[in-house]
Amino acid sequence: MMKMDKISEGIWEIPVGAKPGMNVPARILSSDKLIGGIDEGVIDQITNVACLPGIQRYALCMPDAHRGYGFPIGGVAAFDLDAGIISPGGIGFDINCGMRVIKTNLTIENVKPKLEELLGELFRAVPSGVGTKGFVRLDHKEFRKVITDGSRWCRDNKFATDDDIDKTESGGRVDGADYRAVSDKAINRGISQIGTLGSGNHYLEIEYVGEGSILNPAVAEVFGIETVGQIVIAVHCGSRGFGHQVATDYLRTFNQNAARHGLKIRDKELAAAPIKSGDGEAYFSAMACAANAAFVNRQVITNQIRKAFQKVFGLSANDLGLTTIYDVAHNIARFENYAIDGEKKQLLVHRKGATRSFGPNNPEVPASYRSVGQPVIVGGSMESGSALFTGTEQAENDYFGSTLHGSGRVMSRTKAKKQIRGDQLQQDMAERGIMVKTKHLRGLSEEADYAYKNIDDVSRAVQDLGLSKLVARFYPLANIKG
Amino acid sequence: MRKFEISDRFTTADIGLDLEADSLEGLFVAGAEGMFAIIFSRKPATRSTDRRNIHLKSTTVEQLLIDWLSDLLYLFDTDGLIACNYQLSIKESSPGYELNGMVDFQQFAPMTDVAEHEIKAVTYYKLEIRNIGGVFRCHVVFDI
Repeated sequence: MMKMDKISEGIWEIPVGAKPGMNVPARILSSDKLIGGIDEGVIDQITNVACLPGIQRYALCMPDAHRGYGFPIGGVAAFDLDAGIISPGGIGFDINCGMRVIKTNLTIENVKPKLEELLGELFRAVPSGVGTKGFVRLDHKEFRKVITDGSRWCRDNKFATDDDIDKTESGGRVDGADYRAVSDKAINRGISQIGTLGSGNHYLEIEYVGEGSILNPAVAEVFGIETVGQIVIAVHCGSRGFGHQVATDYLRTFNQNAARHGLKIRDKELAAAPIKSGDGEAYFSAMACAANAAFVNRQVITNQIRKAFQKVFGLSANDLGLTTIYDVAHNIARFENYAIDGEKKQLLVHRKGATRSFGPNNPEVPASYRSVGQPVIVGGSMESGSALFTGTEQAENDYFGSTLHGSGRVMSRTKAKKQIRGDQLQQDMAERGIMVKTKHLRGLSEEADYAYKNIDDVSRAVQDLGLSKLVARFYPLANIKG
Repeated sequence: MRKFEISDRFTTADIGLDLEADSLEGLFVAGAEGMFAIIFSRKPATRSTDRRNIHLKSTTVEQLLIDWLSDLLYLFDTDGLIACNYQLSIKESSPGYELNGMVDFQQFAPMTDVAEHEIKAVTYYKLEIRNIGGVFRCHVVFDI
């Protein structure tokens, strides 16, 4: 493995020159406990990222990093707008895969007696698994509005409240979306999938605030987390087939046109185009469409969740306090301003398996949260639950306003599946008080806790590095696995 | 001769295939069979079929394999079509490669077919088709 130098507590660096062509160092953000688990694929991929033209300061790896394609998962890089590139491999196939957390005023005591009924209702309301279609029927004209307007389309069609939109990254709409940059194939793949979870590591989870797990009560209160036992709902999914096809289309184009752009492609999954080129601008427009589709997807799911809770508890969503805490992307590229050599400039920040972490007083943070910073939602495994953090000024100053996105996978799917049968795992979890519903039980063990890093170890590393601050931990009660 | 083997040699979160065949056409068919074996943990029961012609042109043979598998994935995602029988012809054409094929499909039945993995995309990661002594081999990774 390439040599890494520990340059300070929690930060390891691979200097320029360690691989021919590196323009900046690569920095691995981790901890003494986690650093040994970093695999060689991550190092190879992040040093490839460090070779990309126009990259600023350093290529970053978050503490939950694992091997991906192009960028590692957990990879962050920012590019100069004139000299830099945009790469689908720095965003991922599932554009704007992200997390949403919804709070309720219910407690574990209210929910437990109705948990089975609630889980069944949610399972019907939010289609999951392979080949499922959503309840929202759209023609091409309407789908073009969805991908252009994002969450605003949801408000106009009564799938969202003003508060939902306020509590979504950038109001649930990435500027610059242009449906003309999107292929018919992408639209055909996505048009019937709005309001669906998908498969793989996507999930919908009913969680509760554990005893002693409100770590920062003042900030938790601002986010609406007030009592031990309070029920929250976490949703993890993205732009579905629409985003997957956008990425597939543009990777093909960028690989074909690399020579024309004078770019040396080190890894075809890292194919890129200059930000200020026809190809680069078209991809950004298409990516923004996919990001908007993902915001709409999670919002429509939120609406379905509200309906399911209303049906089971016989109370309105308002009476049940079903309010979005926040919705945040973790596979995306955004134009953001950072100081480089003492001068503030706009950069294109790629986050692949990494979340925005904006601190207090950042105007992008909803006004009601601005005093404490942006909520950062981190999904663990279906056995470990989620963690709620808040963004920091330090992340903005030192890490392009970025932090982790999950606990990070450590075991392959085939290996994970060999450890325990899906039905046995389901039974084990039920004995520990976690109910799971899935369309394909056989694959359940692929998402078992042992396939992931320990979320508390990763959270500690993030907290120590100042990437974000832990506010509360949520524990699973019931899970719909996509 | 053609075969596929599901492998996680190069991936942590996703699934790969080792492919081997005594012709380029065989390698492409093995890729398609392997891809549907990843999606379905049990082979779907045979049902009435729909036959379609597929024509693809790509600059490299690796790109042609990605385009072929991506097209089958697209037909599955949009129309629920599962490829089950293949007659392919692949030839070099300036510039690049060309595939002409006739493929039989059967309809996905969500109530009875056990679909386990949703494939998001076919990746370029570690993809290199090699012909050593008339045996074609490659590894292809799917984003799950």
